[in-house]
Amino acid sequence: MNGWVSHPAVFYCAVRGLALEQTATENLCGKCLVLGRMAVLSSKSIELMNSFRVLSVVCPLDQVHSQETMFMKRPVLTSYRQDPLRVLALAGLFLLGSTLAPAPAWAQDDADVANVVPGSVEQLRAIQDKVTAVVEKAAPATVCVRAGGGSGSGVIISEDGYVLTAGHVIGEPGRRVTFVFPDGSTARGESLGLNVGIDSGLAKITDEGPWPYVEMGDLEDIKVGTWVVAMGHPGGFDAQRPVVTRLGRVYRMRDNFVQTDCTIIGGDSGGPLFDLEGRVIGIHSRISVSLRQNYHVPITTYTETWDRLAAGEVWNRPSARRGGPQRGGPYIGVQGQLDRNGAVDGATLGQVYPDTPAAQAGLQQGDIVIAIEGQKVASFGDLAAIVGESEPGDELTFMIKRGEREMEIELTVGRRE
Amino acid sequence: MRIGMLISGKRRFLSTYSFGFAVAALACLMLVCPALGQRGQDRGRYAPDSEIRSAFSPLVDTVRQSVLTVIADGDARGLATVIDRDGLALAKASDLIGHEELIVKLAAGEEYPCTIINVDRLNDLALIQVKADRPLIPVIFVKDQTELGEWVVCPGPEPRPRAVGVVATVSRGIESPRLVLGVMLRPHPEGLRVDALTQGYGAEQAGIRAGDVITHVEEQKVLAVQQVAERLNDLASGDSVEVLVVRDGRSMKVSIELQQVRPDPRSRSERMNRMGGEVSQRNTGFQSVIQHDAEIDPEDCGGPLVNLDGEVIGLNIARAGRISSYALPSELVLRRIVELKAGIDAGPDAAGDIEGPVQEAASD
Repeated sequence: MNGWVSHPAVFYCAVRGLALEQTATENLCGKCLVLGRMAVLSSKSIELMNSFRVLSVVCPLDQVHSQETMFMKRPVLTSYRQDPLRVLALAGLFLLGSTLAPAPAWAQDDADVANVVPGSVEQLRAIQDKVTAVVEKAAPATVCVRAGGGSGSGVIISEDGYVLTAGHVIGEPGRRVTFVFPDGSTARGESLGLNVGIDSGLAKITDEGPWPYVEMGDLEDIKVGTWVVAMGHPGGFDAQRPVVTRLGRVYRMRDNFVQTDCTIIGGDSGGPLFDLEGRVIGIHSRISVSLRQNYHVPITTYTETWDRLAAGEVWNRPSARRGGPQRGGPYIGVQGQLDRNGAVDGATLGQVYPDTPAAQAGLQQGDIVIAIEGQKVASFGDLAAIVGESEPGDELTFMIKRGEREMEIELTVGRRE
Repeated sequence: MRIGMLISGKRRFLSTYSFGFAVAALACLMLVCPALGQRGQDRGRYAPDSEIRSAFSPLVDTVRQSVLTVIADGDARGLATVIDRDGLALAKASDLIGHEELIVKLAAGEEYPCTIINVDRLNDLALIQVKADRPLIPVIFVKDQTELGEWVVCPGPEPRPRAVGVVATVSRGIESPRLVLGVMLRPHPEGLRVDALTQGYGAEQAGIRAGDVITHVEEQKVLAVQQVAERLNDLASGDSVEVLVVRDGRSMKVSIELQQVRPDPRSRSERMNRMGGEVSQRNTGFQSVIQHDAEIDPEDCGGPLVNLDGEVIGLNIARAGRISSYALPSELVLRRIVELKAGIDAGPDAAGDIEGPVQEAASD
């Protein structure tokens, strides 16, 4: 059959509900592999496929595939009864496979290994080779971070000793930090900036380098299902088991977190999540009850806010909830008036402190702030949140109610001393 | 998924044809809205854990024949790994001790009675004898220099492994928590006065009360806390300690069970450790373990740990917490088998490379 080759092995596996084995995959192009895997997946179809008896799947040996060296080392040509409906069925199956997953031939590049749902020992080995290489490369740069009485993890990303960690590990800028290396040796340094909201944090080794480091990656090739490696110092540094590795897959991705099934625990916080090339793509942040609920700070936020982190800024601290605002953060100088029953639609100012941005802008005690920058303010909490998101120096337009009058007031955000 | 839905139902009559139509129809559907399929592909897919584990099935196809389910008084409590043709097998001791009836179930489905013939208390390893009427298939423990990050597979008797993971860190010993009576002691002219009791430990269970004065431990006069610790040095968790207690001027003999300090279940670290599933009751005190991240259940202990070459490199001995499971490495297992077979109870005296477990009789 001109240009059409069948792969009985694939469907043999599929029918038996087995994973594709090495012997089978060697003979497969990427498309057939996808197809076979799909067949294995749909367990309900197994009964039906039994009726095929001589099970074969067709693979169009088109120009692209015929150029792949790994393709069809041992082509398996099986007799295939001419039956138009059957051809239609198989062609349908194939189309389905190719539409769903226009995958290139297997193992042609790294992205394939990182995203594969393994169906063979060969593929497992490919993953293993990557993981062991990551561990070897990344372990020396995965440090324990001791700051403010607590212990977390971090990862060195430059020769001169910048360390990515979680915001809650360092707590605040300018803290003295001790870094413990897997061999037990230590280095001194200090904490720099943190974005409290997303939990990113930066620290720097101040002792003379050079230090072992790993590259920062990005999230472009990271999808749900991508294999990732988590490392860290769970439970704090332990000389008997220097760095602990976990392998898992991305479970969910959002703007402000990457969720994986790499199980992490206290002490891992701030530790690195790697792609299979050993690039940092996330920093461990928090967990919840399930083993699938491990949350990591996305690496992109470190790249995007590098200057602020390096400058020792603190931002996005929800002052109302987390023990007070932070020095250096945005400040306007007002205090809310308690509104127990939620009777007032807005934020009533109980105090406007003298010589503050609020006072200079002309805000007065008793004013009710109803919007800031066009964003509705329903309570003092809303006001604090909006101001908390701003930066010292930002110009904000406050819409207020004073008695019966509504007015706009321009205010320049100050810096908390 | 769609495929399964469309073709479920009639079995025999559903032939190639209907399948073909269904699939072709679906394919057309997919072609009509390719963007849909495309986007789905870009976001990726989280394949269920079972699908990942299936890929490992060929690796354990032989080994699983040697894995038995141990049923203790009617409940599946663990696994056992066959080590010779005559039915000797290894299991996790603490989960089986104290049960009256032990039965093993083979991969093929047969059931045989079994008995514990020796226990290595230090590593919680039991040697059991399966009374089978046919030869069993033993595993071969392979001493392996494990590589960090390499795959490990935890098979049960079924084709699909129970769990898979990677080697998490270098092999090491896991110390036991210290053993305590559960009393706070203070020197007293006649011995040691019990200041307070720790809830849930041996002393309280034995009826000791605050204010009692302990004068003798194991028939030796005690005047300092350190002396109590010395008296307990050779004992193991679960052993009874004879003490002489003076209460209201009357002296009486009391037997107190020595117990391991348990982590406070309310502490933050312990709550975290238990997030995500049950842990083994005994998950500390091993001479050496391979730590891995396969999410085994406590009932999967006693089964073999297999690498990507299909070799048995260890024996799962504990689900230790959210991030870790422990397996005794083959090298240790092989050494212990020799001693267990020779009838040596490898109790705490055999500690050797691990620190003596008892430090202090007082408790916080």
